[in-house]
Amino acid sequence: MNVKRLLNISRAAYREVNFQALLLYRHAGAYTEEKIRKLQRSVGWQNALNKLILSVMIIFITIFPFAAANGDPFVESVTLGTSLLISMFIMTLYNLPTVTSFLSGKAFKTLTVLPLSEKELKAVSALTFIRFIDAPSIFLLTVPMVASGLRWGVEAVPAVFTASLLTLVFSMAISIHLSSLFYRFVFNVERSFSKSILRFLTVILWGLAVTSLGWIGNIVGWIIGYVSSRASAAHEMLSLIFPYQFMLIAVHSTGKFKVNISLFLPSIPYILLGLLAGFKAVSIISKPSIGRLIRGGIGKPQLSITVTNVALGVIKKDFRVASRSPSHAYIFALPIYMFLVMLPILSGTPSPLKISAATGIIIFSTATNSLYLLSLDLMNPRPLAMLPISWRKIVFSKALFSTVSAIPIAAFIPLYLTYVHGLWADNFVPLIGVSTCFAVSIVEMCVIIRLTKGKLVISYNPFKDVVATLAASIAGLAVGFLTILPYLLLRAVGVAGLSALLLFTGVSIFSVIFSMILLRIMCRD
Amino acid sequence: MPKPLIVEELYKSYGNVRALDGLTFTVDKGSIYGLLGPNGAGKTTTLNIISGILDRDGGKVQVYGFDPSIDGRKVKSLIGYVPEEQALYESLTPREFFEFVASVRGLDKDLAQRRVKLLVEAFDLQKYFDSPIISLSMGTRQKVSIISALIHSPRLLVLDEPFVGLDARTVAIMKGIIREHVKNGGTVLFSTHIMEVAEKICTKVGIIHKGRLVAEGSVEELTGMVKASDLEEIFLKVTGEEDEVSRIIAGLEESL
Repeated sequence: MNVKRLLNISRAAYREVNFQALLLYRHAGAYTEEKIRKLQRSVGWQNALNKLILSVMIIFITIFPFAAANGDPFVESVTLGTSLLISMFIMTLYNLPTVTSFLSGKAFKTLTVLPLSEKELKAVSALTFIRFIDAPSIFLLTVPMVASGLRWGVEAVPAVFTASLLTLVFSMAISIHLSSLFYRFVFNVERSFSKSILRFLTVILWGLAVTSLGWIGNIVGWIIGYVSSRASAAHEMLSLIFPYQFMLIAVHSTGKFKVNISLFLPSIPYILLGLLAGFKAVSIISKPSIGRLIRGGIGKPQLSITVTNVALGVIKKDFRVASRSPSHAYIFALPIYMFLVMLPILSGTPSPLKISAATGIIIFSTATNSLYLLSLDLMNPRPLAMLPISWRKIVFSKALFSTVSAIPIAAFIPLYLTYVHGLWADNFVPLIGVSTCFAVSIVEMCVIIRLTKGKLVISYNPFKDVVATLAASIAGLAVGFLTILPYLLLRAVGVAGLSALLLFTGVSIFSVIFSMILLRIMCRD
Repeated sequence: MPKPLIVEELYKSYGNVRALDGLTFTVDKGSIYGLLGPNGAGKTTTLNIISGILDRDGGKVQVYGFDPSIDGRKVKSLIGYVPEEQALYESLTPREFFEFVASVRGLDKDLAQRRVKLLVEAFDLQKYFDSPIISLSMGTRQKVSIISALIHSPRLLVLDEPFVGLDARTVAIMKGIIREHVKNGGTVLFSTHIMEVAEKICTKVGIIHKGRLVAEGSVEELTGMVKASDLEEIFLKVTGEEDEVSRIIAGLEESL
């Protein structure tokens, strides 16, 4: 078969993979025909736009910091290395949705019935994958090379090119392995307790890994700061971290900056790792198939089911669906994020203001989580639409689920504050605030349901339906703020912590009662 | 005792396209009513409105005296609906999906266990019980969909193309379930393209075309009415497609 025909087939597969990725990550809503058509039309330009943005980001990340570097070859090499590192993580983040969709193999099902040999199928698969990364890869490989050639001379180019190539390989390998990790550990269902724990941990790690990629930019300042303050120690440290050893080789080979040649040795394992990752990645992308990755239960199962009450039934379903969806896996990482965000707030001497801020973060994170849980059903509303369940029950269950997920962090704060600073009534404000989490979650979801006319077949996407999300957040903020405010005011005028805590408890209980009344009014059966 | 289903002057449009144009029919207790019609005739729209999933533009629908657009929950608890477009959570396993359905329907644990075991064995679904639905074939997914509609022993079974993707064994079992359901006092309404199935098991057939009922009665009644030998001929005659089909077949004979 000629290459032109394989390229044409790969174009169709590429379009389908992108379409599946959009469905997977952007909540196509109720999948109405109109919505699907809209989505189909947007596949081409959305992907072109993604590639363009990624390419522009790679150019900016590489050129501007490098051009602004102070002329010291060492600092310049660190800057270029950091740019490559950031490019690697941005590329990984950008490609993760499409790689996950690609690995599902759905887009290649049709191809297996065509008169194509296995070799041709592999070629189509590889060509499809290349289409995802073509333009950004060209810029990743050429821009650092040209920049270093112009600044340092042509001697630096081989080392910089090797580093760029390895950056590309590592980025692809990370995307592929994060995606296959998702399918292998998250989607596979085995009913043993240890497998369930492993799956849950993977979900948390997966969610953390995916969302943390965006934070990688923060390391730039740290590395630059470290390098400028402790240059000699930095050489040894940097020679161990990819891709800095290659940058050291680049500047060393130009003769502008000399370092101990033994520092180049760590580049060898990275090259070997790159080769290994590259071969492994090629073997995976040449035969994507969901059947290969997803396994069912083994042996003859016990035909028993566990029947619970309605709320628990919805919670269990939400937990299972969310924990197996790449777009919702981060929900389970939220308590860890809350903890990380709160650490600086809780450091130093505690004050009513700091404790209120921490409580506010817990409340609004929980409420936001409940909106995501709500969108979970609006992504695929038909199963729920066929069952005799009211919005009241759905909202109640989701509020309960997100509130329960906030309890560990809300319980940790009083323990931590009591352990470090001693027992104070104020320490327990976050724990009491859990009830407000429940109230605010209900208020926000009621607003969304009111705005979407309460139809189970109408979709809601927290990112796309910005007006609804904004309205819900404002209502939630109002309730949350009004619940915390009396406590803060009492403490500001010098009322004792215990009295303020009792008042806060009362107001929190009232907020729950208010939300339940609102639920009855706004979500009629 | 109210009738299982009354549909009167039902209207529904999608933009400028009129899907239902004054559809009227009634399903009596203990009957197996087959809703037949060409593609786009409005069968799925009708079943979605009856099941409380879709709102109508006009007309009246009553399921055991309850209006699906007002008493949606009550109607959904009385019926078991197998839609043409499977409504499943693909990331769940059949076990997990049945647990969810049984929990939301508030079923008694023992009863749900018994029903699930019975149906899973009948449909030979044991080996897929713990496999993610996404990994199942179309036919196996259809089995999951059917079992989830039967778990609560519904009074009215609403089936939209229930035999699509099923093997001969499962079709035979499904027919047996439909007959047994009626014998136990239930009622069945289903749409199908398979005339032989409709001919064999329906006590009454309604043929809809362009959103209207164009013929109704038992297969025998319709055969006498339109002077046709079987249901397929009746169908083609009343939908006005007989001449067109003959012309197309003649054209194909020449070109093939």
